[in-house]
Order: sequence, then C-alpha cells, then structure tokens
Amino acid sequence: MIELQEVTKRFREHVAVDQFNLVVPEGSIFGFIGPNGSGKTTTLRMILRIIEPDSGAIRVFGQPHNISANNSIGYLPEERGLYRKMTVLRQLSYFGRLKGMNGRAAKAAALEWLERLDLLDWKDKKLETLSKGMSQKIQFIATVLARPRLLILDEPFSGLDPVNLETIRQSLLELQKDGTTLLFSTHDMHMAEQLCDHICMIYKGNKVLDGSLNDIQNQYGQDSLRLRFRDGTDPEGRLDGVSNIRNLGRFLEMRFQGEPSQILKQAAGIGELDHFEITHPSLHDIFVRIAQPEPEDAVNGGNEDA
Amino acid sequence: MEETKMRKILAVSTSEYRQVVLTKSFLLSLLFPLLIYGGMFVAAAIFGDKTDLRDRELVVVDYTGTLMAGLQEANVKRNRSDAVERQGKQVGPKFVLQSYGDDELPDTNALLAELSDRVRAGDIFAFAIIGKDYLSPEGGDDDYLHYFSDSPTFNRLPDWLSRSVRDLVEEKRFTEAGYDQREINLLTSHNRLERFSLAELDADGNLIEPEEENRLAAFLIPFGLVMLIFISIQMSTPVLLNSVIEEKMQRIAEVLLSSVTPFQLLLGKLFAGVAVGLTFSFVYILSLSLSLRYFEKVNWVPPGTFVWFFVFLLLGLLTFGSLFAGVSSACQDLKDSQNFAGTIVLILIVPMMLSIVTIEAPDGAFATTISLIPPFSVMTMMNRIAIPPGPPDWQVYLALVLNLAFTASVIWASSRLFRIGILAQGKTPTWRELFRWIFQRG
Repeated sequence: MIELQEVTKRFREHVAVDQFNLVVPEGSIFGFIGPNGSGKTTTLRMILRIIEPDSGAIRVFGQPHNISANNSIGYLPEERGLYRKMTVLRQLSYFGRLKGMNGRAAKAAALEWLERLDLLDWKDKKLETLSKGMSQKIQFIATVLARPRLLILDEPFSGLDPVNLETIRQSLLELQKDGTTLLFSTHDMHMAEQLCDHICMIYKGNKVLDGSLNDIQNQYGQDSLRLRFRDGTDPEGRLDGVSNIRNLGRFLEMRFQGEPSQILKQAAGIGELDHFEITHPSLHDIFVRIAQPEPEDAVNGGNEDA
Repeated sequence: MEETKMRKILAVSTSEYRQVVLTKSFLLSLLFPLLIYGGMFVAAAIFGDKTDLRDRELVVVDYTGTLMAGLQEANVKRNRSDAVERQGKQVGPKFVLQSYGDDELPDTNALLAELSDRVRAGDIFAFAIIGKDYLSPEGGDDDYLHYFSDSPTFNRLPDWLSRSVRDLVEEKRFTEAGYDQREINLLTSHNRLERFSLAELDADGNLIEPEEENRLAAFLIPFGLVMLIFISIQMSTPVLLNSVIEEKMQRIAEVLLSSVTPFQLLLGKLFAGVAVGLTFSFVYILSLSLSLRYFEKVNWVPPGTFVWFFVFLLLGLLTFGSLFAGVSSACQDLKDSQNFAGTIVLILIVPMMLSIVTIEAPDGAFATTISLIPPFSVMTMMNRIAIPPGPPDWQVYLALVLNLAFTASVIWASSRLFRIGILAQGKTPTWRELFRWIFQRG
C-alpha cells in the first residue's frame, strides 16, 4: 500500500527524517508512533506529497507517488482545521469536491455520514456553533467522505470524550473491514495496542521499531511484572531487582531483573497479593525506554538503595 | 487528469466566490449603483413631467427706489419665455413680484422679522432686499443685494434676480455716465466659448458633426474608471488575504493541501478573487452604461473604453490578487498580513493619485511613460484610453504585453511564496526573506 525507501528530509541543518524505510501492508491498521519532533508528521506529509523528500522514493498504491493518488487518501491532521463560519453541509461538500467527487455525490455522502454519527440536525449550522466533540466528528467525516482506500490519521482520538471516541473507533474498524488501510500516528499507546496489527516507531528521524505488537514485545522479552496488593500497598523501594514502577490504576507495572520467584516471595511478605503476572513490557513502556533511555546502572538503582 | 485538476481549482474558486458574494456587505455594495442609477430612472419616469409649477411670490424691498419697475418688466418677459411656457404648456413656475411698499420703510430688523414670518406662513416664497447704495459705482455701506428664503435648493428665482438686477444696474450706470446702453450692448455682446471634439469624415467623405465637450464628464469618466479598478481590486482582498490567513491560523491549509497542490489552491483563490472584482465592476459598468444610454450621453465614453477597462482590470486583479495571496500565506496573523497588504496598496494608490496629472495631460511624456510601466499602467493607461482621442494603438498594445509579462511573473513569484508560506509556522518573514523564498530551490 505504502512503501518508503531510504527517504530523507532535511530542514536546513536539521535532519527530520533520515534514510527512512517503511512498508504499510494493504488492509492493515498501522500504528506510527514516536515522541514529539521525531519526524512523524514530516513522514505523513511526505506520503501525502504536501512536502517532497530530499532523497529516496515513495510509492503509494504500488505506483510512484503523485498528487492524484491523494484522491484515494483521507487525511486527518493532528491540528484540526475547519471553516468556522461555514455551515456543516457546505463544508463537507467542499472537502468532498476537493477529493474529486462531484457536488451531488459529496452532498449525499455527507448527509449519510451525518446521519450515521447523529449530526444530521446540525447540517445547516455554522461550525462555530458546534461543540468541540461535534467539530471533531465533522472533521472525521470530512476525512472519510470520499471513501478513501488509505486513511492517514494523526492523533485521531485526541480531545474526544469516551462516547465519541468509541463512535469514531467503531467507524474506523468498519472502514478497515471494508478494505480501507489505516495508518495512524498517536501518542496513545493503549489505543495503539488495542487497534494496531502493525506498529512502527520513529525516533529522531530513524526507525527504531517495526513489526507486529507481539514481535516488538518479544524483542524485549518478558522483563516486566504486573502486580496488585489487595490493600493498595506501595512496594516502592521494598522489592529487590525491580525498577520503573508505574501505577497503571488496576495494577502496578515494573521492570525486573533476576528471579521472578524471589520477587514474588518478597511481595508476598509486604502484603496480600491479588495479582502477580510476568509479562512482556507494554507498548507504553517500550516507548518510554526508547524515547527516554536511562543509564544502564539506573535499572536497579532505586531498589539497591533500599 | 487535467479535468480533475480543473475541477478542484473550480471547487476552490466557487466556494471562495460564494463566501464573498453572498455576504450582506458585498450585496449592499452591488445594490448601491443600482439604487442610485435605478432610482434616477424611476424618478425621471415618474416625476419627469411633475415639475412644481406653483407661482413663486417674491417681495422686493428696494431701498434704491429705482429698480422695481425694471424688475417687474423683466419678470413679465420671463413669464412669457420658454422657461415658463412651451407650446402652450407651462413647463416652469412663474414668478410674482411684489414691492414691499412705496411708503416709508420700517427699520431693517423689523422688516426681516416680518417678512421672514410671511415666508414661514407660506404667504410668500421669498424676499429680497436691495441696499440703497447698490447703484453707486463707488459702492458704500449699503451696496448689497440680499435674498431670503427657506428653500435653499430652489435656485431659479435667486439666479434670475441676480441676473436681472445686474442688467438693470449696468444699464443705469451706463446711462448716468452718458453712454448709450444699447450701443454698448451691441459692442460688447458675444457668445460664450463652446468646446467641441475634432471633426471627422465618415466613409462617404461626409463631415461628422463634432460633439460638444463636457468638461465634467471628461474628468469624471477616466477618474471614475480608475477608482473602480482600485475599489474592485480592494473588493477581491477578502478572498486572497483574509481567507488565506484564516486557513493558516485555523490549520485548514494542511487539510486542503492533502487534496490539492499549493498552486491549484492559489489558482482557485485567484480565480475567485478575479470573479469577485469582475462581478463588482460589471454591475457598476452596466449601471453606468445604461444611465449614459438613457440620458443620451453615450458619447461621453470613447468607443472601446469599457472593453479595455475589463482587460486592464483583469490584469490588475491577477497581479495584485496573487501578490496579496502570496504575501499573506507567509504571515502568521491578520495584523501581519494587513501590514504587508498596506505596502501593496500603496502601489495601487500611486497611479490613482497621478490621475489628476495624467488626466490634465494624457499625451504628455510623464503620462505616456507611467502608462507603459506595470503595474501602474493598469490604471494610467485606462486613464488615457478614457480621454479622447486616446493614446496611439501601439502604446495600448505595448502596455498590454508588458502587463501580461509582469502579471505572469508575479503569479509565478507568488506561487513560490505560497508553496512555502502556507505551511510555514513561526515568525512572519521580512520582505527580504520573502524575496529569498521566491528564488529558494527545492
């Protein structure tokens, strides 16, 4: 579906993307993750031909990329952009026409989507009268209106309440079921874990992760523990060989070194355990490890002192 | 493929065009000439033969004591003239003159109060006071002729009074000085200067009667057309300035650029701006044209003027429109873009200010030179075309070619600016940086 070969983009002295290779399989839900300023948006913009790479090749739909392919690509940028003074229906028709639809087809598709997302009553209202959540949904409709073969979504769920988030998530899954390839960039690792069948991480313009979630987690091995004390005891500093303890709400997640049975023993001595699980690191943890690397000796730091 | 590109450009154009022309302010600006000219037609049709024919009573207080008889005589003559009666039908109001009285006159203040009350009461239309020294060639404290009314816009009566009193005074002074008034009239009489355009021969060699020149029209038509170019270009700025900034500030640009290229977006906006300017001008020119036809003054505008008007307007709209769009795409907020636009508008104002000079001497070296230099020539050449006999054809075509080349260059430069500017964030560039963007590679 998308293929990037040795793609490089510089902005003056700064190398935003460096000899980057990427393959997005057709029909996949592809997560493109990375910290702020790592080159995600630049890469997405190059795929969309909004900006040109300095070197390397980009192929979309199996063809050397040209702007006409964009008619089959829906793009939802991170910073949403709609005309505040324009009515919803006119706005959607306009975006549809820019994707090559004729006016009538664009209007019909817009009405269909508005009905589907329960916004039909707002079709003749100016955007400035809509709530933020509604505007987000309008932006989403503008992206999918022309039934794109490829959807590029930059932080599609940011700012959405749980109800609207679920609505959009379901719509995306339906689109994927109908054959649309989804490439989305996100900081929400939980959502990426839930949705994506393939993940690529870019860091400082270079690819640092690429593969299915299982492949990636397997690369890191089972070096994480999840445990929960019945009375909510905080084991900070009381377990040898563990570091990076994070409270994920339902349980505590931490990295460990050494024998897990020893840690279990120690934990049982601290309090009554509800849950003890040896697991792969979460995507969040992997992301943090890459984007915020720690000195080797810090791994056992906190606990050695204890 | 090309069809899809054109469809997208058209989609941008129509959306932008509708956004401007469907606003109340634009529609009102279009209604203005229609109301003015249309109102004149309607008023002329309805009230054309509805001149107020009521008699106008004028009380004359003649402190000289010698002018009243002459005035009465002049008035009788006027009331029988064409100004009042034509082919047995009254076409103008008659004046009825009354002397205040031959008895001793009251003091001036009492007189003013009394006669003013009579005017207010509708008893008389107006009154006039002729000072006692009015006949004296040396003048004096009371050598005045004052006219009082509460109808300041009715000029026929005071104009007639002024002329008639002047004639009577001149006659009396000549007579007192021992001259024969009639002889002097004969010796000094002459007709006023009448101005005509040049005579021409038609295809059969017959003389085409020269047209009488109208000095006001000779100024107003060229100046008005230049003003219309200026305003039309200004009317197109919402599309090319405000909407570009809105798309940048509201982050709409990135969504648009995922569907169209920067050049397609620029062209779409440019076409919309051109369409807005042309729509505005078309309504005004149509109104003017219909008015001239109605009042049988078509000869005020040299043939072909309106065609050239639209040609030069189109070039002006393209040049300044692309400049506005290119520069505003580089700005980060409306204030910055308005600062840049202010500088561009200065380029527009220069030829408009120079109109005064170029209308005075349209074929002079200065006007000729300016009318060939783009972008000033858009307006200055229009000035010259609208003033008979107009510039030589070769100058018009040279200006056209130079403007075409200039417009193409500006669109190219603006597209370079637009391509970089529309996605650029951070501080607004300086003019120097903008020029660097134009020639930046990649």
